[in-house]
Amino acid sequence: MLTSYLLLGAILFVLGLIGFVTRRNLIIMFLCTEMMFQGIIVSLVALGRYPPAGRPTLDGQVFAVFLIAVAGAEAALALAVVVLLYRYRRSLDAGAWTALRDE
Amino acid sequence: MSGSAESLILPKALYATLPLWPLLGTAVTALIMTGRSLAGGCPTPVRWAHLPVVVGTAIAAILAGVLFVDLCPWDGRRADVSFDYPIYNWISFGGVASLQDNQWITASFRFDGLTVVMLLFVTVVSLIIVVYSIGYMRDHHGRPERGYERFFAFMGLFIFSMCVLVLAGNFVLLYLGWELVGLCSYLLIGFYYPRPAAAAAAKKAFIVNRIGDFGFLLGIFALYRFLGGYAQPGQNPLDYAFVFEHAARLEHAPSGFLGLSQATAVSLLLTCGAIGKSAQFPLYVWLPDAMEGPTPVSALIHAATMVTAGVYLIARCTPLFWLSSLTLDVILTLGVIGAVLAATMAMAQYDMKRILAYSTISQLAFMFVGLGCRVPDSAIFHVFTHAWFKALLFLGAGSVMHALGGIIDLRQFSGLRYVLPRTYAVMLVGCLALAGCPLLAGFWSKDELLHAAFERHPAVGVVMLLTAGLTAYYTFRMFFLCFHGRLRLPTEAGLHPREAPTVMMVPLMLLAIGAALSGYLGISFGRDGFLALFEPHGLLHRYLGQSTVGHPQHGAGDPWLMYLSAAVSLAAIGLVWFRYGSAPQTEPDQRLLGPLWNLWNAKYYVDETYDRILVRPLRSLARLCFGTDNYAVDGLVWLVSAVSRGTAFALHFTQRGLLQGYALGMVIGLAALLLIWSWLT
Repeated sequence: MLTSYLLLGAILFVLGLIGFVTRRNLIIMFLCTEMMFQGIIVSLVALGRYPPAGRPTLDGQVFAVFLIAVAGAEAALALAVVVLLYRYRRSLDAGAWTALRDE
Repeated sequence: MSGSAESLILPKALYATLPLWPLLGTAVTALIMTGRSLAGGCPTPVRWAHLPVVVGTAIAAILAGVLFVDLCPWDGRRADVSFDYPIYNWISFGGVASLQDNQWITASFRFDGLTVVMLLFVTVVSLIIVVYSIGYMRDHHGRPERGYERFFAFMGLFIFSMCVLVLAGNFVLLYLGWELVGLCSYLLIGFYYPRPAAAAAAKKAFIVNRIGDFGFLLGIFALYRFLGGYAQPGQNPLDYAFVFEHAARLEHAPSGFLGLSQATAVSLLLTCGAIGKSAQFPLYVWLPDAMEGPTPVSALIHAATMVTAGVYLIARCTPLFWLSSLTLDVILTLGVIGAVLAATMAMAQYDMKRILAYSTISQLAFMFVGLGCRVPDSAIFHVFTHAWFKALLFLGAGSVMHALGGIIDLRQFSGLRYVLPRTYAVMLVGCLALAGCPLLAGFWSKDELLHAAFERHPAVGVVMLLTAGLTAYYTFRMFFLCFHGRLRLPTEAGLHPREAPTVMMVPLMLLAIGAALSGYLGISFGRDGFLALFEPHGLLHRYLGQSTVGHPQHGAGDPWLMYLSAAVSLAAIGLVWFRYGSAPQTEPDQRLLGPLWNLWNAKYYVDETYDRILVRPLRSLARLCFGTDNYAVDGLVWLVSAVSRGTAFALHFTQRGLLQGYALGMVIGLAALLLIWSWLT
């Protein structure tokens, strides 16, 4: 069982990763990070429920609750930033923001 | 050693402030009177920059005079009233249990006969020379020379340092003063630093002195090494009192170096310092070059005071030096060699100041001969009289230089007695005193030294007597070439060279009085009639008796020697009058002596020899070190920076500012880390 859940978590994480690296729309990129979060949360819960050794504990679910809270807070901030960035450039393209480079 | 405070005229604390007054003058001059830069454009009184230093030195001189009277050993009136004045605990070493148990090097002053005699002439001659400098350091219109305030600040600093040197109550403070006077000497020789010769001379003086000072420092270390174990808690193992009390322990103890006794090792090392500072063979080469400084500096530092510090050191350490006859023989030998070498070199020079510099070396060598013959009191007596007449001679030469627009080469002028009559008169007094003409200062002190030399060994006595004759000869050769003969002037002098202003003339006259009379402090009258004059029991000798110099044994004396030395110097003056009296254009001695004269004129090629065997190899070594540093070490550093710069250049292409690119980088890095991790486990 554990392997299937971890596989699911890994797939979610890698999908999010690929999406973040390949897409240029800021909102899509942001959503991809959320997807990576979900992959981690699935892994945590699975590891709590089916630990490799010993009895199942609630630790994984506690972590998951915290992570969801953190992800929610991050979402609020990140969306605000995205809105601001959009107002500056009237574009959601990440390519519009390339100031962080060596000339 | 135990003086009662009630018997002193002024409180001890006031005497202890003596060196601080010139320092205060220096501080005021240096901080307030440094031209327009500090005051922000408002005209500041550079013209008055001498005032603080003159006042400070005057206060010091007055204090020294009162002190001289105060500690005076009147017959039967007072016991030994010398005293120590600790100022504060300076350097702690040893345990840290409590301040009382610690061994401390105390900043303490020692007031005894030797100190007071030294202080008296140091401060008074300094005062006279500083006053003279007010006139000398100006041009013919009375405008101060460039660096006027700097000059006086350094002079004040020097006077402070010299006072610290002679007042110091232990070897560490002595060393501090010793190095401070060396620093001032360096600063003042290089006073005209834009002139390459002056800068080189300053460096030479400093470096040659370092060689001697290194030995001196080792000597202090050795003293601590040998005697530190005997010190009780709270005692300072480098105090004069402690060292001389325990010096006898060093006499037979082996030092572990070449089989020398500890006393010999320490005293030889201290002698190194003394021959460096007092410009003795083989370290004398810096003194003639030091004449690049302004003339008052030559008079004060390089004739009257600083160069006598070596003699002072050995006289101060008499209880230590007398334990080692080997060291005394070394001092005597160096003294005889130096006296003869310097006197003969002075015979064939043309630069007035250089002649006087060689004469200073020669006279200092006389003092060393006295020290080597176990009569340090006579050596200090000669230091005392020498200060007056040598300062007078230098300042007289300065007066000539001032009148002639800086020209001092004897080939370019003669017959100056017609234009500088008063300088002529005071110079005559100075030259007679240096030549050992009877009844003037130099006669009395030199006679004592000759006497001691004859007692030590007749051969030494004869050599010194002949050197005294040479002294008279070269002194008056210079005098006649300068002042006698037909009036000739260099073009730099203008048409009417002017006699020195009053502010320069009065100091010259005071020094002339000192040159004539200062010898009488060291002789006594009456008791045994005129023939006993050379028997040293004058005031000065009784004074020195209340210090570490003690009462050296002088022989009964032979009055004929006194007549003989008087005859020798007068004969030498007569001879030189016969040969040089009309200031001939061609050198009669050169024709007579030929290659010998040329050898003297070339100063025995000593400078060239040093250059060949010491300076050039050292310079090659320095160049090698410089090359190693410049290419090998710097190259390595350059390589390190080049690698990181190259890497950065290679990597900067990856920074394109695109968010996805950075994310990809992170992903690849993460993947790489994971791979490495899985490969490791």
